[in-house]
Amino acid sequence: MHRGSGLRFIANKIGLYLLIFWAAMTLNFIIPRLMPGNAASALMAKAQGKIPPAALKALEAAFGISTHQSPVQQYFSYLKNTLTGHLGISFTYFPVPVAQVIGEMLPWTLFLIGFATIIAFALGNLIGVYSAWRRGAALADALPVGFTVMSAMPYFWIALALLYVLGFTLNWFPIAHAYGGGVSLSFSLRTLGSILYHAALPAFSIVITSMGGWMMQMRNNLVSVLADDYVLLAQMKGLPEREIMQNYGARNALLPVLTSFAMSLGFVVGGAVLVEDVFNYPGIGFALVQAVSNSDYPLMQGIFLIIVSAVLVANFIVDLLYTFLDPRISRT
Amino acid sequence: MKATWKVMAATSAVSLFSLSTLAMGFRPAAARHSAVIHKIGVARRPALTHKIGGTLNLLGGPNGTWVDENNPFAPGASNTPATYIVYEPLIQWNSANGHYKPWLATSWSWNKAATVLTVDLRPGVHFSNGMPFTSKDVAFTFHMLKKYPATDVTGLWTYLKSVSMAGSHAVKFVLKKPNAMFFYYMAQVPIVPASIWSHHNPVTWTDPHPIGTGPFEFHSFSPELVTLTRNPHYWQAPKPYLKTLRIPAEQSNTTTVLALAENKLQWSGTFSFNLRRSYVNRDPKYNHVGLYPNGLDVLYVNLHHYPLNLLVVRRAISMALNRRQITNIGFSGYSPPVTNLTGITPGMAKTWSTPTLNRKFSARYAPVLAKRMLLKAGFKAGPNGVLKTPKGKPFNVSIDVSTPYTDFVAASEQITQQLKRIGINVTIQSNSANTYYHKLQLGQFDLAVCWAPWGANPFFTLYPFMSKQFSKPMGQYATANFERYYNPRVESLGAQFLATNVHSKQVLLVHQLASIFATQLPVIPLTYRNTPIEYSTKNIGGWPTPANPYWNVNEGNLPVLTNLYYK
Repeated sequence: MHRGSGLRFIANKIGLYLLIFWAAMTLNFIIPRLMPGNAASALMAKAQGKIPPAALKALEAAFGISTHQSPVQQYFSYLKNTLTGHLGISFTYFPVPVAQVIGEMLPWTLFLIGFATIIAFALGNLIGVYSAWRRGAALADALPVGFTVMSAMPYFWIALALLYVLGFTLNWFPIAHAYGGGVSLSFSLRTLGSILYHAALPAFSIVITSMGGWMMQMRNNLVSVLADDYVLLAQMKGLPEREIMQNYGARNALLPVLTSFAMSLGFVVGGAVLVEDVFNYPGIGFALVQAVSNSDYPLMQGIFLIIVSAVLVANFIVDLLYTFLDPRISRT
Repeated sequence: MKATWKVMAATSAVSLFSLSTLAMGFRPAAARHSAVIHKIGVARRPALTHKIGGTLNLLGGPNGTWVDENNPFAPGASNTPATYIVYEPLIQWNSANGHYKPWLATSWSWNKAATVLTVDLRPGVHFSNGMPFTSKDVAFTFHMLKKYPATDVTGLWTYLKSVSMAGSHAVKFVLKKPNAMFFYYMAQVPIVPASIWSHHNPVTWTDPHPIGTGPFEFHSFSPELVTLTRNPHYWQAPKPYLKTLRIPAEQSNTTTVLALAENKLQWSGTFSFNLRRSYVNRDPKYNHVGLYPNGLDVLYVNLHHYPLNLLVVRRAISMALNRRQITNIGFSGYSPPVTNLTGITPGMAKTWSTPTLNRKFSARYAPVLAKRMLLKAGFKAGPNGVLKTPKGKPFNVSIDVSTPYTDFVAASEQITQQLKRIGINVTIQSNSANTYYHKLQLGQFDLAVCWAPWGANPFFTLYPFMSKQFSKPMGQYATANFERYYNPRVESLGAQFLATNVHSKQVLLVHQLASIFATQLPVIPLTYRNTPIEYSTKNIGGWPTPANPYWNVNEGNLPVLTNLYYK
């Protein structure tokens, strides 16, 4: 009985996620087409007179802009191509396939933003637990204030300040690129060292600016959980503080935090334009901006598809985790 | 999303033309411009021997991470800059001295009717895989443009009837009828080896390991860095002197200027306000900024929108503009104000204009007179200092800007304030670069600052601005005549120009076109457009300088790359 309802819960969830996925795919098709302009004019604009006027015809021919397919036909061939894994050819990086563009940029984004998000999440929650548990102590009360100020400041500003002081003036960290100029990409300690060294400053900037959010969320949840009667009961029973904090407090406070963590892990694949811009770091964010400003539908759709899939998958996993962490959910 | 993105566009694939990696050039002191096709031999200078070696780090402008795509015919903006170093054209246009420079071709000649062009090719040239360069490769390249119209970005086959080999080292081009613009576009087509390209579709092939005749060979690719090494068998041996070219990826103009300031880049064409402070002053002895002419910046005026279609209004606008201020504040002083309204740049004026024309159509700044002209033409004073049109409506217009082009935005703000002073209420409309250009093409604008079409002589500017060939009905994509000017006189003068190769005739026709342009003001010239170029003389020598302006890099960077040496 119990097991059956769990399975039905999962089946329902899968159905719901498929529906959301279809809706997202459809929006993904419609929204870019509502933007004014097309890839050929974008390219002419970008070249600022370097492309002779007569080129417009050739560009339209290559990009298939003057296509004779009706929007409905385009929609169905788009659905079919996407589901069969054909993301098409990027206009911006013509004639490079979208899959190749994404394949080249995505690993850097996953590496930098992914790790930074996990570190920020872990550190933020630990500090959140600490400052909730020890509230009243000077340090525990100072930490939330400090990190809130940090996350309230514009990321761009903090990143530039870090870059200027630690990178440009003191020369402690490289100011650009994902690895050193003399290093070839191979599996060696030197390459790995160079990659980590180059990622340090951008990762640090992400961690210190995003940690505050996690910390506050955890702290607030924990404070309200700790005020619950069952915690009081546990304390009255004389359970060790550590156990109360871990099993009664943090575990329950973690549930809502997990949802936002899943969301942000999903959005990792969207890249971080500002990070890439300031630290001159390769990644998918720059490609996305290029795609949008160039009316590059195939690339835009490819990147949005990845973002949508990642967010949905991450949420699905959290839904499953929830049923594990809190069995009540699948019973309702 | 900085102004720099403009310069970076120089790496665009479509631009087989002036699209050098480094959109550069410089201001020729007394450049001669001539459309006469000369028969010039190889310019042999006394062989200066520089040592061979050294590395140059260069970047046209921030373009994000590279993708491994080096196909010069694929329309897109993604080519690595290696493309235009590996592949070479037949002939190069040198706007610094107004001559065509023989490159893979040594000489050329027209028949009397100006319909058959015979081009002699340089013997002894090899592709970097050892295959000899012959007329087969040239004929193949041009036939490919015919077979795949998407690659023929200059529309060469609208003029061409046939291209054929005339022996192993000569090629014959037959035109449908004489065309004075053909040569300029034909000259710049990059020549690719038939033995390799005959196996590929030039529209969709990425050409990951390009093989060309150029001074440097493609060495390695990563998204962060493209490397080229010296071609030891180059036809200009012992040139090139440099051993290695490194082209790093940059995401923004801030990081590019930082890399320049740290001497991690020695050559770039990045646009940034106040480069003197951010670059030159960091090392004034070695860091230089050169200003390289690249046509005009103009104010487009929509001729279908009342009252901008009234000539008196366009004249008044032109007189109300303080172009000196637009230069200093809008263009950071890089692009000087136009001195006359003929649309002929100073570099070309000596050959293509006359002192009388320059004087007759000099650009005047007279806001008081401008306002008086409008009042006399039936405009009335209205509330808040805004004039009323003769139809009784307030004189409100908008000016479209593209947010990424920070210089155009600043210039448009100046124009807005200056026009307000004569009673025209201008509001700024901000757009993305794509939307901005899209609105221009469709004719959905009142006013907009934009660059001008540009080529080997003023005809390449005046004709596209005014001819219906470059126009389309409102709501359809025009290619250059965005203001929708139409004048049968222009069409007839244009047809006469295209039909002749006689320089003296062409000059007279340009005089007439320039007169129409200056009197009718279909667009209002603002500044002589200059591209700022950053270069460091610390380790590298051989740059074009004001004292030795041997090349305008807006037309391609091969002549400079072959001349640079490590000190």
